[in-house]
Amino acid sequence: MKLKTVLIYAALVLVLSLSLAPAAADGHCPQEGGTFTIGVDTFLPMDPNTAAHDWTFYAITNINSMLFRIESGQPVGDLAESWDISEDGTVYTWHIRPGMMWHDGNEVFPEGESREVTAHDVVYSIYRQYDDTSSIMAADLRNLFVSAEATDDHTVVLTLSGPDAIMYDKARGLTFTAIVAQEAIEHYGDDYGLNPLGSGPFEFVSYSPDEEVVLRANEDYYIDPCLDEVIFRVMPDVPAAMIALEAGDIDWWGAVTPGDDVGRFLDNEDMTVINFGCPVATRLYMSVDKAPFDDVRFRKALSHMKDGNAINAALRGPTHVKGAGTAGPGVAGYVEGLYDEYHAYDPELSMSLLDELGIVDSDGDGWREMDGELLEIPMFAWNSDPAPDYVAATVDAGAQIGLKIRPEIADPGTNNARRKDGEWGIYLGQGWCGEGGTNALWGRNGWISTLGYVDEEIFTLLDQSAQNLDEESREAQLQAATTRVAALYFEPAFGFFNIFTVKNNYVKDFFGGEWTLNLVTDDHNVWINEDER
Amino acid sequence: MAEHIVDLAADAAFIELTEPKSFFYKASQQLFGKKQAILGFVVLIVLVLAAIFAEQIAPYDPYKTNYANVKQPPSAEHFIGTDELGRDGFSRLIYGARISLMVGVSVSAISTTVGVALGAIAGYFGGVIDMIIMRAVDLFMAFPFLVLAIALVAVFGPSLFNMMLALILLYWIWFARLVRGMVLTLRETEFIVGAKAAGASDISIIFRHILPNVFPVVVVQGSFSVADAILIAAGLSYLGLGAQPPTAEWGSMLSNAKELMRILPVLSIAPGVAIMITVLAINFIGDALRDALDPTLRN
Repeated sequence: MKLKTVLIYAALVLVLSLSLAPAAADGHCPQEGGTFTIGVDTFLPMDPNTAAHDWTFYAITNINSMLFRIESGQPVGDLAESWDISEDGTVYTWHIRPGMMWHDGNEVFPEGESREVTAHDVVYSIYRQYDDTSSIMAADLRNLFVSAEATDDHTVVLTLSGPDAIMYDKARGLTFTAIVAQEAIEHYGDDYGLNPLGSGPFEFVSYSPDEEVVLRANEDYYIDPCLDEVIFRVMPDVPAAMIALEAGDIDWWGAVTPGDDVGRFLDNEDMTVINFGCPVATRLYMSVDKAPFDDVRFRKALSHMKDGNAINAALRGPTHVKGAGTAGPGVAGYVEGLYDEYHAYDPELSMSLLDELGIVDSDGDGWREMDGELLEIPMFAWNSDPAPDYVAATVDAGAQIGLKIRPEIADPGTNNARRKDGEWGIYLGQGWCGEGGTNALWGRNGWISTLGYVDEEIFTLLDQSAQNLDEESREAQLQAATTRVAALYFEPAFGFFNIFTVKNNYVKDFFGGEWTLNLVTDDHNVWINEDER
Repeated sequence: MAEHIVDLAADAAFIELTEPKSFFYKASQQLFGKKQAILGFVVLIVLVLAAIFAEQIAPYDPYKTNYANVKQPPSAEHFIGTDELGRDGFSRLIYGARISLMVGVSVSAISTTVGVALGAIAGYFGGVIDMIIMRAVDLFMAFPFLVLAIALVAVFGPSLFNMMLALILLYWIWFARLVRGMVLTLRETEFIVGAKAAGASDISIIFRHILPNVFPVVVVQGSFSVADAILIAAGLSYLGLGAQPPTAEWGSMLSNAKELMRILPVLSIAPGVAIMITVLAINFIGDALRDALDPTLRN
C-alpha cells in the first residue's frame, strides 16, 4: 500500500514535470502550430555571401543549416552532429549529421526529389565565401584558413594555419557560414538571395522586398519545429512597429529598440526585454587612403569636432554607454578612457588642425576650401532611425567649424556597395562587438579594409590575439590593437549602445537573437502560447 | 427740351453705371468678395512673410544642436519644445515654411510653364508633334503618380533638388493635357481663323490669342498644384526621399518627430498642422479663383 502510494506520487511528479518542461529536442511542443511574426526595420536579399546585415541573417540561419550554432555563448551542433579538434587547435574534423535533406518543392529540387546534404556541400559553401574576398566571411577565419576538404560524404576536415581562439564567438567565425546547395546557386545566379534554399528548420516560401519574408516549417528537419510559420515583417517606421508589438501584430521586435521605449517595455509585464549582452558602437569610417582623410590631422579634426558622447546620450537614451573602440564595457578588448583620450569634444583643436592643413575659408563664405575648392564631404548613411539624426548632428558639428558635410542617405545595400568600392567620403557605421567584431572590422581583409584601413601593426596584434588561447595575454593584445586603432585612425566615435529586443510573453522558449537566430535547436524549440496571446 | 436734356443725362448715367466692366475687374470683385479667399490670402501672406523673414522671426538657429536641452516640452523659451538633438521646434517650423513654399511654388511654376508651352504647341500644330508630346504624356500617366515619384527620386538619389525635379517631371503632363484640349477647341474658333487669314504668325496667334484664353484655367489649376506639390513633397520627405537631414522641412520634421510621438506629440502635430493650414489656404484661394474666373460659376 505504501509502495503503491509512493509510485502514484512518483508518477504524478513525472507527469507534472514533463508537462512543465520546455519544448524538447524530440519535437514535443506544448502547443504546435502558429505563426511567429518578427518585426525588423530593414531586410536584404538572403545570400549569405552578401547579406552583411544582422536581421537578414536571422532568416538565413533558419533557412540554411550551419555547421554549429551558438547558444548562450556555447556551440551546439546543427549540420555537424559532432566535431573533433586537433591538439594544436589547427585541424577541425566535422561529422555531418546523416539524413539532412535540402528543402524540396522548388525550382531546384521538385517535391520529393531532394537529396541529402553532404560534406561536399559544406566544402562548397566554405570555399564560396572564401573565394569571394568581399563576402561576409569573417576576416579572422579567412586569415587563418588553409583548406577545407570532404574526406567522405559525412566528414569535413578544416585546416587552419593556427588555432582560432574565437571560433565560437557568437558574432563571427563559422557562425556566418550558411551551408548552401551548389545547384541552387547555379540555378538562381545573382537572384539566389531572392530565392534562398537550405536545409534548416524553416523553408523559404516568399520574399516581398521591403515588405515581408515568409518561411514555413521544414518537416524533414531533424527536429520538428513547433511553429508552422515564421514571418519577417519589414517595418522601417519604428514607432509604428512599437505600437504593433504592443498590439500583438508582431510577436518579437528583432531590431534595435529605441531607448525611450526600452524603459516603457521594462514596466510592461506582458513583455520581455532581451539584452544582446554586447554593447555596440556607433562611429564614422572614412576613406583613409584618400586625401584629406589620409592625413591623421584631418582624421583627428573630424573626431574632435563633435560632442559624440552627448549626441549618443541624446539619441540612445537609457541604452547609451560612454566609450570608444570596438569592444564595449564588459567585452574582451575594452579600454577604459579611450573616448576621453582620443575623441573628446574639442572644436578649437579641430579648427586649428584644419588651419594647419591649409583647409581654410579663404573666400569668407563660412565654408572651408581645400586647394582653392570648396571641401564638401559626402556622408553615407541609411534612412532608419536614428541614423538621420546622427547625420544631422555630424552636419551641424561640421558647420560649426566650417566643414561642409553633405548627407547621402541610401539603403544599406547601396551603402555596402559604396564601401566595397571604396567611394570617397565618410560612412556612418554601427554594429560589431566582441573579439570577433574587433578582428572582423579592423583586422586583415577586414570589413573596412576597402576604405584603406590597412595597418600591419594592428593586423599583427589581431592575428596574434585570434590565435592566442591564453585569455590574459589575448586581452592585452586586443587592448593594444584597440588603442592603436584609436591613435592611428581617430575613427570618430559616438559611443556604445546596448541592443535591446522585445518580445511578447506568449512567445515561449525563446532567448532572443545573437546576430544569428536559433528558433529550433537541441535546447530550444520556440512555440506560441495561443491561450496567452 | 429740358425734359429731353434731363432724359439724356439720365441715360448717360445709366450708360455709365451699366458700362461693361473688364473681365479681371469682375473677377477680382468676385474673388475678394469671398471670405474664404480673404482668409486664404491672409494666411498665405503670413506664411510668405514668415518664410522671407525667417531669420528675424525664428528665436533660434534651426540647425543648432543643444544636447543639454533635448526633448524639452513646450515652454516660453521653446514654444513647441525641442527635438532629440535639442533644436528648437518652433524655429524649425518657421524655416520649414521657406522650404515647403519654395518647393510648392517652384514645382508649380516650372511645370506650369513647361506644360502650357508643350500643350499649346501640341494642340496648335497637331500632327507628329502632337503625337510625340501626347505619347510622352500618356507614358507618364500610365503609372501611379506617387509610385512614379518615389521611383524617380530613387533613381536620381534622395535630395530636395531631385525631389523637385521628379515632381516637375510629373506635374507638367497635367498642364500639357489640359492646355492641349483647350487649344484644340480654340484653334477652330472664328477669331483664330480670322487672325490666320489676316496673316498673323503662329507665334503671335499662340501668345496673343490662345494663351490669354487658357490663362484663367491654368491659373486655377496652378494654384491647386502648389498645394498638391507641398503635400507630395512633405510625403516624400517623410519617407526620407526629399529634404535630407538636417534641413528643416515640414515633411522631414514629421518623420523625425514620430520617434517622440509618445512623449512630445506637439512636435509631430505642429508641422502637420502647418502643412494642413498652408494647403487649406491655397485651396481656398484656388476655389475662389476658379469661381471668379469661370463665368459659369460666377454669382
